Amino acid sequence: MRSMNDELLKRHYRQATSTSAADTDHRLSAAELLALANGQSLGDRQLPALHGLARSSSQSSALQLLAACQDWSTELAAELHAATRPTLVERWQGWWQQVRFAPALASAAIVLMAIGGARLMHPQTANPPGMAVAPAERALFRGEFEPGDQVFAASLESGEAPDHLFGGNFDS
Amino acid sequence: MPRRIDPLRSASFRQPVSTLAPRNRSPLQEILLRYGARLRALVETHCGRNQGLDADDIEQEVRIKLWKMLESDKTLDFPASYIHKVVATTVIDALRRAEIRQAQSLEPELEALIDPSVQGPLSPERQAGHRRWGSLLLRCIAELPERRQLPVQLALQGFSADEIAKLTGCTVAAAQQLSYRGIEDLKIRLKELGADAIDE
Repeated sequence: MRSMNDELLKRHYRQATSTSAADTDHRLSAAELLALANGQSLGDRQLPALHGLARSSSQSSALQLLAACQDWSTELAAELHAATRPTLVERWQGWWQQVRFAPALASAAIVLMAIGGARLMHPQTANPPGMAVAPAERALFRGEFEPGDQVFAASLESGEAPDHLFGGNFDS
Repeated sequence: MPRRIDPLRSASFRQPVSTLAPRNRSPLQEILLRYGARLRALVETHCGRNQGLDADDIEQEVRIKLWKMLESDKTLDFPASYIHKVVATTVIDALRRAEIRQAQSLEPELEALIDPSVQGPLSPERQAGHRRWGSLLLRCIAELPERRQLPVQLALQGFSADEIAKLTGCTVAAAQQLSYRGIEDLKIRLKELGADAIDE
């Protein structure tokens, strides 16, 4: 005989609910248990699923195990990813194996290499004629105006002959 | 380019862990073995032998399933959700098998001798004590106010107040209060019905 405590109650309750949930409504699928372990709601199935957990210690244990396995799964996935990730050399080799049977790519590479080689060997012919450098100091119009410059410079001096156009009436 | 997996090694992978010499293990096998040990501990903690599960079997089954996938899928890029799903299906299948075995078992004494994961038979007195405890407990839970019943049942299944709150959608404080008060009421009622006097 033992005094009643929480652990004793739990043990007896789990023993009393160790048989499976008889009706299919209270049986949880692996997908439902996973969703609950990930904190997702099952919508209309949420309440029957909770009663299924309450009445079946095996389903409750499975859910508790799946919740505890979340970190385990994440860490294992990360380690497997790191262990199977190809190195830089392996990636380059894989790329080369993929493209080596493509003649078009190979011929394009040869043409590019030929152009590059020619440009390296004769750099002076590389500039097309249209790209000739213009003289540095050349302006189409150039003028320097000083304060004294005038577009029309004229002067009528006194004592000259009177104008003929206005009959001598033009007074400047 | 993914690394190639030696099929000969995969055959040796199916051997028990103890018989595999460390020099014969690939890095991937090492990882799976290391994580397999952790999984075994988790299964023992949460779904021990009282559920009719063998942690070694679960661990080995999960490890072999993952290894087969590593062999077949050369890209070898598993998301964590896939691994989680493998564990879920393996555990659920094992639990269903255990339930069927329990239901079909006519000679528990003989089965306990063959399979150590099966609990041995209890004495008739202890079986009677367990049955009385169980029936009294279920009866007292049914007498609790309805809003306390589910939190109490989930707490007795081993869920924490935080987990009950997440599952039922109430606050942690409400889950704690409902389950605590419900269990206290349950103890009082069980004492009134003489559960203390039941010999286990």
